[in-house]
This record gives sequence, C-alpha cells and structure tokens, in this order.
Amino acid sequence: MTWPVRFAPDDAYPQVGELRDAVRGRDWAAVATIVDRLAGADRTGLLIDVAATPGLAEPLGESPAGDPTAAALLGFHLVEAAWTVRTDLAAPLVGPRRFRAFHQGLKEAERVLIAGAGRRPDDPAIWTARLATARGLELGQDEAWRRYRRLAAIDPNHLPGQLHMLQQVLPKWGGTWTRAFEFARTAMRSQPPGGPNAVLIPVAHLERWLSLAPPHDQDYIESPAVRQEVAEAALWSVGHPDFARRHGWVGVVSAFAVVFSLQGDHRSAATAFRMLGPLANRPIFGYLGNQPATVVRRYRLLALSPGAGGLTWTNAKGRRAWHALRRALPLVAGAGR
Amino acid sequence: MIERIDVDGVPALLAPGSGQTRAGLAFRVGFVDEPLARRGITHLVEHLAPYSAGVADYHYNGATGVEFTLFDMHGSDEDVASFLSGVCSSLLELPMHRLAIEKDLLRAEANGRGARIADDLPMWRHGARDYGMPGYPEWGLAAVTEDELHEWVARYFTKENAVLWVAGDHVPEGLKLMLPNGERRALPTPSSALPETPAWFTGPSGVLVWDALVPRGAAAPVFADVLERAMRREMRQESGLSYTVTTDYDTLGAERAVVTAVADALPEKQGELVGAFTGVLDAMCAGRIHETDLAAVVKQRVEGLEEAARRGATVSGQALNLLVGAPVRDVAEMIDEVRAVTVAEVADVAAAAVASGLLRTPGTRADWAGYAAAPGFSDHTVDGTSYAALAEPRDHLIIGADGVSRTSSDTTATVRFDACSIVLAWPDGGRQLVGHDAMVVTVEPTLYADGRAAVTRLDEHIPAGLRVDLPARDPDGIPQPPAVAVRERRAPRDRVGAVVGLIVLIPLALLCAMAAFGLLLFITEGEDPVYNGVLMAIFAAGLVVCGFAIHRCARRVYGR
Repeated sequence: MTWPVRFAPDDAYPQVGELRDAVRGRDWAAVATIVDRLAGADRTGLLIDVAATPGLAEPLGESPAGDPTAAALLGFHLVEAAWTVRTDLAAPLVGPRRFRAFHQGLKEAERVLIAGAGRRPDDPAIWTARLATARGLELGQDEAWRRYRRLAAIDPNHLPGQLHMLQQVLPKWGGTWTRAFEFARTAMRSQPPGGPNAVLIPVAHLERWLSLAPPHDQDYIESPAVRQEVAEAALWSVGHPDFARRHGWVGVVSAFAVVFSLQGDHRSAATAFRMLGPLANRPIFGYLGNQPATVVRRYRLLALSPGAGGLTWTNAKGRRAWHALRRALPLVAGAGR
Repeated sequence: MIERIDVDGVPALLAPGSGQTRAGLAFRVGFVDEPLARRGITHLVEHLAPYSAGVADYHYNGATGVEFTLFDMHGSDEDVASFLSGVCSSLLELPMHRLAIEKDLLRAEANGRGARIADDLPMWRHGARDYGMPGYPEWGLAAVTEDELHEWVARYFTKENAVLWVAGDHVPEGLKLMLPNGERRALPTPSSALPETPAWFTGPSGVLVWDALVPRGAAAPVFADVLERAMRREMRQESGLSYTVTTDYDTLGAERAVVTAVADALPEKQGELVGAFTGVLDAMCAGRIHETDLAAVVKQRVEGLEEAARRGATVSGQALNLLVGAPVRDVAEMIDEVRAVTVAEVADVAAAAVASGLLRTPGTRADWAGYAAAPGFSDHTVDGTSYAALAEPRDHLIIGADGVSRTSSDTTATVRFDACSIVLAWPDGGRQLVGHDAMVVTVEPTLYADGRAAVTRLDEHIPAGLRVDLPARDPDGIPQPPAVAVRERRAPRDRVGAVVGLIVLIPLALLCAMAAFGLLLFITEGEDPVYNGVLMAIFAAGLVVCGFAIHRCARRVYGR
C-alpha cells in the first residue's frame, strides 16, 4: 500500500494557495480579502503556512507600509528563512557563521514585527511571530512571557502562539519539564472541549520522549500515566464530537497519530490516520525521523492493516524489534526545534 | 505682557506677578562650561557670592545648573534690591577667606546628595566633556585656586552674560547691578561619545533608564507627559511590571531638549522591562497615541502655565531663553502652542526620540530591539612600556608618551593625553585618568610589577592643568595584590620553560608507560625474567619521575 502522503498545507487548506498567489501577484486587496475571511488562530495559521514559502520576502517588501497582515507575513517568513539557515540541528552542531546569519535574520524579522506591533498591537499573529523571534534570539523567559501575556490578552487560547510558548518553556530553551507540562495542561483546560489546544499534551510528551535515551524513551511514552493523559487529551479534542476541521487541524490530528503509534496503540492511531486520509503534518512526523513521508507510510500501514488493532508491542520481543527500528531511523538531534 | 528693559547694562525682563516682588539674576554659565579638572568651580562661585550679601533671613536661593547659574529672591523691594546688589558686589570681590570653608561645605553637600538614578546617562552620551559633566562629582574643587576663581568670574559673571528678571510691576528701587563688562558666552556644542544611536548599555538591576534628544517646541514636553501616561498604563496598571514610572523634560540649548524616562521592576520580572518600554515607545512612533492622553496632558500643561502666569513664575524661564538666544514668549502664546499640539506632532517627537535614544538596561540586552551597543571599551592601545599585573600576568598596564592603556584578555581601556579630561592623584601613588570619551584607566602601583616606576613615568607625561591632587586615602581603600599572587609571581621566561618541559615530558612519560606495560606483558615469557623485571622497574620509576615533573610544570603554566 503506497498511499500518497500529502504534507503540503495547500492540500488541506485551499486558501493557502490562494493567498500565496495573491502575495506573489502583489495583489494586496486580494490578500486582505482572503485573510479577513479568517480570524484569530485560523488567520495566524494561514499566515504561518503561506509565510513558509521560499522567496516571498521580495513581494512582501513591496507591500504598502503599515499593512499589519504583510508585516506578520514578512515576520514569519524571515523567521522561517532564518531557521532554514540555522538548520534544525542541535545548537552545538551549528557553526558560528550560521548562528550569526540566523540571529541577523531574526533581528531583521524582529524589526519588521516591532514596527507591526507598534501599529497594530492587537494583532495576535504579530505576537505569535514575536514569540518565535524571542526564542531564537534567546531574549529569556521574562520577555517571552511578556509577549505571551500580550497575546493571551488578545486571544487566551491562541494555539499557534501556545505551540511557540510550549517550546519556550521546554528545558532546551531555558524552561523546565514541570513548567512545560503545566503550561500544556492549563492551555488544554482553559478552553471548552472540542477545541484543538489539547494537542499541546501529545507534543509535550513527544518532546520528553525525544529528550530521553533508549530504552527510557519507550518506557516513558508507554507508561500508563502518559497513555492516560494522551487519551484524555484526545477525547478533549480530536475525539470530541465538537472537534472542527479548522485551519491547523492536520497538525493536531498528526500529533495524536504519532503518539498513539509510538505507544503501540494502533487502534487509536488508526482512527487518527482515517481522519487524516492522505494528509499529514511534516514537522510533527519529523519527530520520528528525517524521512517523514516514510514514517507516515510505515505507521499508517501498521495502523490500518487488517487486524492491526490487536497488535500491541508491549512484550519484550516487540520492544526489541522497536529498538531495531529506532536504530535504523537516523533521528535528527533537534527535530521539532 | 513681558516687558524687556535694561538695568545697569544688564538685559532684563519685567512681568506682572502677585504678592511680594520676586526677582532673579541668571548667568549663562553652568556645568557644561567646566572642564572636568575644574568641575565644581561654578558651584563654588555661586556659594561664595551671596555670603557678603548678609543673607541670613532672606528667602533667597542660589542654584548652579547644567547651563545656567541663578540667584533669586522674594521679599520686599528693599530686600530684593539689597540681595541682588550684594551678589553683584561680592562677585566683584569674592570673599576668598571663605574659600576653604565653602569647599568643605560643598563636599559635605555632595556627600549628602547621593547619586541620582539617571546620573550616568549624560556621561555615556556625551563623554567627560560639556554636556557629560552633570554626571561627574565636583572633582575640580580640590584644585581650584583664587586666581582661577577670578578668571572664571571675569569670563562668565558679566553684564553681557547675565539676565535679570522681575515678577512685579517695577524694578525694585535701589537695585544696582555692578558687574564687569564682558561678552555673552555661547553654549558649547554637545560632544558625543556614541558612534550611533539608538544605543544601549547595561546598568544596575531593577531599573530601566532612557533618555533622548528631541527638537525643542511645544510638542516635546507634551510627548514626555504622554509617554509617562502610556508607561503608567501599560507597564504599571495592565502588566503590573513597574511600580515607579516617570518621565522628565529639560531643555538643551535653544533648539533641543532632553526627555528622560525611568521605570523599575522587581528583579524577577526585570527581563520584561526592555520589551515593555520599547513597545510603548514604538507604539507612540507608529502614531498610536490615545487622544484622551493627549487631551489630559494638554489640559494639565495649560492649567500649569495659567497658574505659573498668575504667580509670575514664567518670566524666569523666559529670561533663560533670552540668555541662549531662544525666543522670549508670552504665556498666552505658549498656551496657544500647547493647545495646538496634535497626535501627529507627538508621534514625530516620538520618532525623533526613538532615533536618538540611549537606553540603560537592568543587565539585559537591547540589541534585538534595534539598539546598538554603546562602546564600553577602547578600540586601541597606546605604544609604550608594559607592566604586568601581579594577580594576573596576562593583564597589562601600558604607559607611553601618548597615553595610558590597561589591557586584559578581552577588554582594553585607553586614555590618550591629548584627549584626557582629568588625572586624579593620591599621595600613595594611585592615579585615575578619565578620557574625553569617559573611558577610565586606574593605575594602582601596588597591583603591578614595578608599579612605582610606572607611576613615575606616568607623572612625567601628565599634561598641565589636568592633574588634581586629592587627600590621602583611607589605607583600607588602597587595593592590595592578593597574597597568593605575590608568592606565585613568576617571570614570563619561567613559564616558557615550563611549557617546553611539558612538551618534552609528556611524550617521555608515554614512552616509559608503554615500555613498562610491554615488559609487564612479556615478563614471564622472556628468556631472562629477572632482567626484564629490573628493566620494567626502571621504566616504571621513570614514569613516576616524569609524572611528578609534569605536575610541577603544569602548576607553573596555570599559575596554581
């Protein structure tokens, strides 16, 4: 079964292509119309997806001065470009020249975003982007929290910003595991069931899993406490009847698919993969290896094979097989930056 | 409303006032005119002058400021006339017998005053010259001589360099301004110690301080007040970050003004200060200024001006304008200008302020917000004789014909003699040089090999007029080299020897170890086990000796 794997956001969200074309065509009226159809986290998600397109700096630089949407787009784009220069490797593996260019790019982004925030301080997309620059520029927990509070004052459940803030409170960016899980749990509970924010739970567990060395990582992700919490988070979000396929839903479902697969809970993973169809989120599956498409196919196959629902890898033999698989997958050190 | 007249050759402004007569005499001289080596001389004159006026009961005030020196008084016509006339006559003949006492009083005053929170900004912005002077202590007092006082008075306290103002309906009878003739002294052009702005540097924790140069005008003080309201709302009321938020406004010459802002924070939240403050500024730049803020500030300022006009308090400020060649204005005119200030004008001032800003952070960075690092080190060293520090032989003091440098592994401080503002000298040999750029080089003879010789050499080169001899320091205040450093003191040649020793000894030790280990493996297999055993013992002993020598050499190299 070699189903297609569609990572491109265009496949899930048609407005991404529309907006990209409008930006490339420097049609600022059309940009405004497309973006204004969405609000809040959906709008931010759309801007992030479009900003990831290479080569948008030039048209965006020609946008009319003071356009907050263009400022946010350019900010996200420059952040993305800076990370491309830096690569996703762990900090010690990045050379000094790359780091300088990375910081230069982020400062440029920050300059654009400062101007944007000055004009439109109530734009959640700009504060989301400023969370990304604060982290890359290592401005510290205080400044990041200040920005997050500004964002939360506009939209208390702004998932794109919360995903950035979750990274910020992880140990790799100067936080602690306690704070990270506290943040994820608070974010989940502070919105009604059916919303996407519970995705912070599987993402936090994925980060913890990634930080541990085998075999502790597998023991961790399969532990009853983690299983229970991820299952609850799933019921609170993707498994809830009110869960809506709004912008960003592919990432949310992908995160649950990944964690259920890691836990060997293929029955639950199958539900997630059925929801996704051919769609998948590249960064989320990137947690499992630097060939995300292969990873998707492998786990989807495992989950959706007839009878796979009964397949659990809690026995020793299965675990040894799992570790062999893990060794075969060259894991990137800084996946999920 | 304001009448311009002439009193004994001194230009004067007369404006109506209520109650008793208020009058003042201002001179265009202040801190900006003082060289650092004579810092305090104007203040000394200001203290000496009212003495002979027999001042005990009068409501008089003398003040030395950045650009002006003022004497003012309120009371009956007779009191005012006799006070100001007395000041003038005592300026002509300063009571020099009071010199030592007044110097002591000024030192006591300085001790009691304590440092102000934004004291170091002028120094960082302008260096140790002209507009950088307000941040420096009155270091020149110890060196001021009677002749220099006479020269200072003759230069600055003249008819042409003075202005009289009177809030009342007439000039008090009997007022005689007997001052020498001279000329109007222009303000110095502000020096700059900042290669680019906006700039930042780190200061003490818990507080952020910022200042900026903006064009003078009605919108500038309005900007300062609106900024304070915006800071109070966003940094205090909404985020609970700061308790104290204040701004200040001061004119600088005829065309510019300085706006200062201060915000504090608890140590655990101070990392937010830079972002929060620059955020407030950037919003104002972008024109996001609350109309209600602007209206409230304008209302307050208009009320303040009306109240000041009733008391006759605006005329003194106009008198100072006259001294620096700025237009003299009526209150009605000033009120109209304040009322006409628009949001766009305030945003323009904000933009000018951001561009010229100097930010002192509570230890956090500000480069990400578009601020350049203010230079904290020199970019060059002078050529000359080098003296190694006893505690850290890699640190050096260099004394040359052009200046003095202190170098450590990552920083350099240089003061060139042709750009030196002061050399403080203590009897124990301690010296402190301050450059025009505010760079400081401290020379403590106790901390350097041959330190005495270094000071002798330095003293030969100090330019005339810059040296200020200070009284002996408390012996506990003289730095002493750490005792262990004296014992471990080594000539550089000694360390070279140790390094060479290490290079030879380490391979030798490895060789011994390999030979001994090899012999151990074959000890029983060889033809003559005794011979092999003895050989192995020799190599093992060699290994021990090498190890010991390596340990000694390593200790020398790393100085432990």
